[in-house]
Amino acid sequence: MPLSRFAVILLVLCFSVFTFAQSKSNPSDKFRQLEEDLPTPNEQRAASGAPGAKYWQQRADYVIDVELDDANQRIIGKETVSYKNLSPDTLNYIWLQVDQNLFARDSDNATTQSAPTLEGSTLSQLEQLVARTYEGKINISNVRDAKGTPLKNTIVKTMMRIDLPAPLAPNGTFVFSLDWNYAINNGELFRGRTSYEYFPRDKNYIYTIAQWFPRMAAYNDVSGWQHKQFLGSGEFTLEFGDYLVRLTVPNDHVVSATGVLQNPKEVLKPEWIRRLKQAETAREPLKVVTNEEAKLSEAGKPNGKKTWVFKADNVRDFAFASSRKFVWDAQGHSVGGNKVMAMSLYPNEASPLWDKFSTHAIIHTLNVYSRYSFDYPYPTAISVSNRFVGGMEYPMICFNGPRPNADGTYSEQTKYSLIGVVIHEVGHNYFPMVVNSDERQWTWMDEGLNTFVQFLAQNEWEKDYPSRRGEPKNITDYMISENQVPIMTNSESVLQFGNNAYGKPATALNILRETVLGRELFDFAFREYSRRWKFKRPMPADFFRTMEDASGTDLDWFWRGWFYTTDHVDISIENVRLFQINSQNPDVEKEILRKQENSQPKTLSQQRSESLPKRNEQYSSLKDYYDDFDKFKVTDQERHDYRAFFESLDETEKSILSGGYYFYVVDLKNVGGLVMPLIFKVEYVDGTSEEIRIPAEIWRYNNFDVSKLIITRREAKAIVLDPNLETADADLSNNFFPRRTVPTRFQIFKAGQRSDIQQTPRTTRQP
Amino acid sequence: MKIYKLFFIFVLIISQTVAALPFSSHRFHTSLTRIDYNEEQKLLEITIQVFNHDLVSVLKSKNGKPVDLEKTPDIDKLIFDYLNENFVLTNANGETKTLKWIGKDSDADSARIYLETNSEDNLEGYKLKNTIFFESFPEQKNLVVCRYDGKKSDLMFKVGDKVKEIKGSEK
Repeated sequence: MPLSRFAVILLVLCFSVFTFAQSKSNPSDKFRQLEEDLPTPNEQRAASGAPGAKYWQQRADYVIDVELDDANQRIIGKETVSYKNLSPDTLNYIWLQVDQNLFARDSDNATTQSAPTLEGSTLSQLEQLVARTYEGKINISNVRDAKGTPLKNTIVKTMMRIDLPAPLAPNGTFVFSLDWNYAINNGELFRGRTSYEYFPRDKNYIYTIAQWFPRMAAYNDVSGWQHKQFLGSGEFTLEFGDYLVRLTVPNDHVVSATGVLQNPKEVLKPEWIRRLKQAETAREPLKVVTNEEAKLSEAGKPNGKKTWVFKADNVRDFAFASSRKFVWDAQGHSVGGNKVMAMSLYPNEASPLWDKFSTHAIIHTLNVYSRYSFDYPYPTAISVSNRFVGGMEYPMICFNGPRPNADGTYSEQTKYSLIGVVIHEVGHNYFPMVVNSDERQWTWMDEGLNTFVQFLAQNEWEKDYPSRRGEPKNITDYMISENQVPIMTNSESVLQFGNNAYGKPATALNILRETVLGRELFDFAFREYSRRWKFKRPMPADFFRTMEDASGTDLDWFWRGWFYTTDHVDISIENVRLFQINSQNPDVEKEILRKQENSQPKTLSQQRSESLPKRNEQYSSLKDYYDDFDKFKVTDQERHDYRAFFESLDETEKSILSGGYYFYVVDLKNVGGLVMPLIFKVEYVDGTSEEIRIPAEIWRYNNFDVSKLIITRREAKAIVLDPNLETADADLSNNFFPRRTVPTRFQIFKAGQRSDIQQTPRTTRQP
Repeated sequence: MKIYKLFFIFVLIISQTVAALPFSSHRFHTSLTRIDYNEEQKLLEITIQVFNHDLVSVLKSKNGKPVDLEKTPDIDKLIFDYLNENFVLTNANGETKTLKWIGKDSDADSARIYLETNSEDNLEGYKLKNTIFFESFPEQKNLVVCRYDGKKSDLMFKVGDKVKEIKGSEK
């Protein structure tokens, strides 16, 4: 006895020495705090994740006069910018973004592309070459201060520096003006976030114009000037300000833009003004410009110009759309008492898909996003159709691509593409148009957060909405791959943009909400983050810290695993061991021993000798006491001893002893590397089952191997890990005890194909 | 020789035009392929995931006329023909494997194409050519994840890459 106890102690010692040595030589402490990686909190950014007591940001107000030259597809503009230096620093120069230079023939975006394959180019692709007579470079002139004195300026690709005549002190304002013009890109040949769409049939254009004027670059407490060149992937961050924009267009165009129209009586027909008024209280989207009116308009010609005046307060950018082809629908909506006009503008080519879904999707987005973040703060929310934009967001206005077929029918994919993209792009009003994170630096901060809330909104659009991103099981194939970079990677260096910056962070947040924190804690913290950083510029640490601070939960392990590494989730049930209490009751225990002995397999010799005649059966004189002795038979003495023992116990001890407990020790292995909570479903022999949820902290002493004790009063027949597919576990085959064969997605699909030989093709829905 | 040169210039210009494409909801061109070896049935099970939008636009330019993933009658054949050109698996002896079309399905954004091929041996030493959409999108990246016999091998194909060997390491 002492020997075996010694052995046990020795074993434990060996084991602990081993684990200690492992964590010392191979630092894999997945619960190590993030402080050493995050920037030190300061007066601008507090340790709680909130803006600090001395948080500051710059401000830029714009007055812009712009003409859209429909005959030559050009933008000709003048702007006056009032730049207010609210930083504690004195500035000798300022930087502007001239993103339009992305379309210059010698832009970095064009020259830094790696070589394409030379084979297989089709004639229609070669055809596009003819169009590269296009030069999209911006021409800037007349850069001058408020007195009209010329200012020295330098254009550096997609950036422009203006040298200030005198240093701009804290709290000072610098006013300057400039003129510019450029040729708009044809979206079919030079796709981008801004473009025109040409309709050969009626020779008209739809213009969706963005990133179109020289804009003040952001200057902030973390990186100074945000003068990363625009290479095409990392979108932008800018400063908040007020805009007054006068847009001069052909007088038969309908214009929509960031902000509120100031002169409706000068530019709208009286019936349009009347319908807009009606739309404020309509229960369904109402046509302001009808399909018939748009058809008439596209057949006509302008006979002059009109100037549309828009004002937008506290926005970080300004975009607009203009065309004589627009159908315009609108519906007023109230979000937390704030009146919003939801509107969609599209050509007849987009009907009836857009009439049916676009404005509905806008209002749905405002409802759901406002619930999870803050009430929508702007007076309008607009969706505009341009076939050559997949989807792109600006304050209050976004451009979206999906269109029906020429005959008005549309596929199921097209329908969900439109609903999904409208939700996504309108959702960007919250992240990053109001919560002003820096997409040129951290794409996930707005794309990931927005895709996550988009997933929530889609779940409330219809039952079983076919969302691609958000469900844990949809990200596993990506997460097991070796060729990936952590989410915390700069926008222009991200491989697999869709999975890295949209899918994985959206899924991580969904898991954080459903599995780690629970909906109530998560929603409180996420709302707190959104409200703290509304109209301010958060950094990744501000998000991580706020989510922890407001949920009261240390999530460093979660951020470390999901955002800083490329580990994936794969937890395996290696073994399950059953222990039971020895009840000491001879009637119970001896019966168990008997069963155990009887269940021992007979050896081959025993089996073959069984039928041989036995001598002691032929001669009864050979029998004695030992032949009849049953070692499992309970004696009176044993029963008496047991009763005496049982009576000596107190009530608690008695109930434990006779409670019929089963102790299951489940041995688990962390194969994928990412630590996650354990969710067990225990299936009992009596047909019932039970769910047991264990926080991820079970892995804190040993990140790779743990054992979990499950105590029940029912005999288990199976234990399943992650039964609700909520942790993104990449290999389900090791999630069962006893092991089960789990068909892959491929095998499920193949089985479905075989059993369904007369498969009817999915029909195209008629509108 | 002269024709060759001309062709080269053409392609260079494409890189400046089609390259400037990225935009928000679809600003990336990628595919994700998973190959599992089903030892019991001696099958390689292949799932290729691509964006609907990319697939439609590539088939359209290949075909010279618009295609619809649901309505075009011979859409499966068009896809399969394209894949047979651009997704070629060769075994360790250098023999090209014949792929069998199992089917396709799709969600709002992406299509999954299911293919299989018989194979007595697992993927070790196989060679894969994966040039899916390379002719159309200079920034296209094709990720391939192989799992067999407890081994893993991940490949990344970017424009210019052609054939890569599958060499497994322990999972």
